Amino acid sequence: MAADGQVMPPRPLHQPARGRDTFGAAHANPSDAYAGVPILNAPLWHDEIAVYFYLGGISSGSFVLGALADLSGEQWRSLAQTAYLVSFATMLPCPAFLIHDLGMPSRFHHMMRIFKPSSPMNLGVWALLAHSGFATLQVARVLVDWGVLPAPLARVLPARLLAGPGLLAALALGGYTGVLLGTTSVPVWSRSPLLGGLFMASAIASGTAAVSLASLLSGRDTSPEHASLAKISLAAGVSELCLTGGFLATSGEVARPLREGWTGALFRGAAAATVAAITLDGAGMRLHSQQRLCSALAAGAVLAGSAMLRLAMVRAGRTSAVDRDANLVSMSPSARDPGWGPPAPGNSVS
Amino acid sequence: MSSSMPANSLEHAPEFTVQHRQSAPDLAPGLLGGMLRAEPPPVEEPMGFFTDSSICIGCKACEVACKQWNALPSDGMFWSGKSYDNTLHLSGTTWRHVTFTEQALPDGGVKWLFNSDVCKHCTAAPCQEACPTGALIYNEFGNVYVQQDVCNGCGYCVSACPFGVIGRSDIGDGRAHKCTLCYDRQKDGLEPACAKSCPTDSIRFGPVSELKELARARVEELHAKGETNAYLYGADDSGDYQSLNAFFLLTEEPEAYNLPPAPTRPVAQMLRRYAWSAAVGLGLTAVGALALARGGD
Repeated sequence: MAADGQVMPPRPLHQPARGRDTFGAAHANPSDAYAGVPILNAPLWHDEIAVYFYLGGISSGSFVLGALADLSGEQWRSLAQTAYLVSFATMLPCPAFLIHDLGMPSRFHHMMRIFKPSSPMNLGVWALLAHSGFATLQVARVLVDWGVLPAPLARVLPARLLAGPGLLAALALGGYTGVLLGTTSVPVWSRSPLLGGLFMASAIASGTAAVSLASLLSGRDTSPEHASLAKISLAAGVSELCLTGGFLATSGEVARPLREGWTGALFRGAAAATVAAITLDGAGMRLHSQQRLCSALAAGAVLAGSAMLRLAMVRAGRTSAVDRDANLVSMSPSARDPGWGPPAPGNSVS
Repeated sequence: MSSSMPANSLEHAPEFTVQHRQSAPDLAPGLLGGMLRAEPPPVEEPMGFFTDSSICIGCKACEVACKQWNALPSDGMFWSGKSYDNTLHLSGTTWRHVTFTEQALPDGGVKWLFNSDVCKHCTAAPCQEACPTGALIYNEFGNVYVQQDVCNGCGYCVSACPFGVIGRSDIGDGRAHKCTLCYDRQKDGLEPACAKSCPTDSIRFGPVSELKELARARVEELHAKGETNAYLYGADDSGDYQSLNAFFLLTEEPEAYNLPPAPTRPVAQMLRRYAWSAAVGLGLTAVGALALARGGD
């Protein structure tokens, strides 16, 4: 059943023995016998997934901004157009990254054979599908506005009416990714309940930053736009920083891969970028003459920090899952999960 | 086996059996086979394993029988340095794994603990709850089973399983694999290959309710004989985690057999995570609405 008639190459012979010095050693505490052998299997997800989380986050955050601008009045029409275009452009490559990371990419469509809310991945596929539909619709409307698509199309597109539902789909897309990682047995992802919130804040921050930068580069930016986006960016940045601290505090010692090594450096880089962005947003609000420069630098910092956060988190999961000590911390008996173990001394009932 | 299968079974989708170049009408069921759902067989009594580690002799007959019956590839040669356990871990191509634990006794002697580890066939299985395609199901015997014609190898089950059981072999076919509890043998009224091969009946197969009675009697017997540490791992619900249809009798802490003392059930905390996500998302949306409502001044 498993082999399906395929011939699988054997593992290379003569691998060097690991831990030869402990060979045959008996352990006074038998719980030490498997020291260094992880209980969990390592996650199979590669950096493609981090890239997807990053692009999907930008797409989600920029759509939220676009929908809000759309619903807030005609003076924000230009901002809404920029935001919808950014959201559409960052959404386009997402499915490719997701499908490439599957074990059997030709079966990607099996994700859509059921609706299963107990699986954040299944819910996420539906959220991405809904979001891509809304983003495409809004971009079609922008193209009608610009005269690229025929005007009669505008009459059949109830686009503004769909800004609200589109906003909810975008929030679902930005909000499910951290929950997906959290709803696993991998210690560093699952110990804290805050990962979904952290990725959500990062999605809003990076979406806002991308729109701000796109607006600047296309020369369509205005002073009130900078002021409003700086406020949103500041709020998202402060939330992200608080949630980063909260995440570390509630994770405890299983957050070690986020403190040590390359993943630790990436994670610290993400936090430093958030602090820099908050400072620059604050400076831009006070120094009106330098607002464009401050906005651009803050946006760059947010985009870099958000990428580092996703990469650090996806990679930390691989380290954490194969760390037996972390496995035992996250799966130690608690009042909520007493688990199974030997009877207390003197108690002979199983 | 296939001759006794019902005609509507999903066991063998056309894509596995059609070897010749496919015409368009042949291709359609191949593409859609995994999307279709057949009528499930009627539910039968839950079947499972009771693995009694106190009478396991570490012969690894179960590992070999499992590999042979399920045509699983070799894991190669690897000297782990962990006693005689050179398997170390369950994986997509290793569905039984005998643990070897050497315990130093105060009198200078050594006690050897063996246990044959296997998929626990959880009654509320994290892998099944995580699976986004519906490939992972409970079959009519209450066993957790991967439908190979549906699985697309997303890997979510691998991260969800708190026992590190299910795996996807990178040199294989890109799909998730684990113990099927010999679904094919059960369909023909046979016991699983590992239980059949076990020379000491350390691996018992049967209806879960009967196995639990047997196991509880065995624990009492061991307690009466002075092995007061004997206990059942997974026979009862424990907090968020529900009982296992493949449970164990152990005499040391679960860690000694590299089993988690209190396995996590990820979905139990899922709504709390979504609540944080939603709170942050809606909060920042409100901030955005306010920032834009005032016209940016």
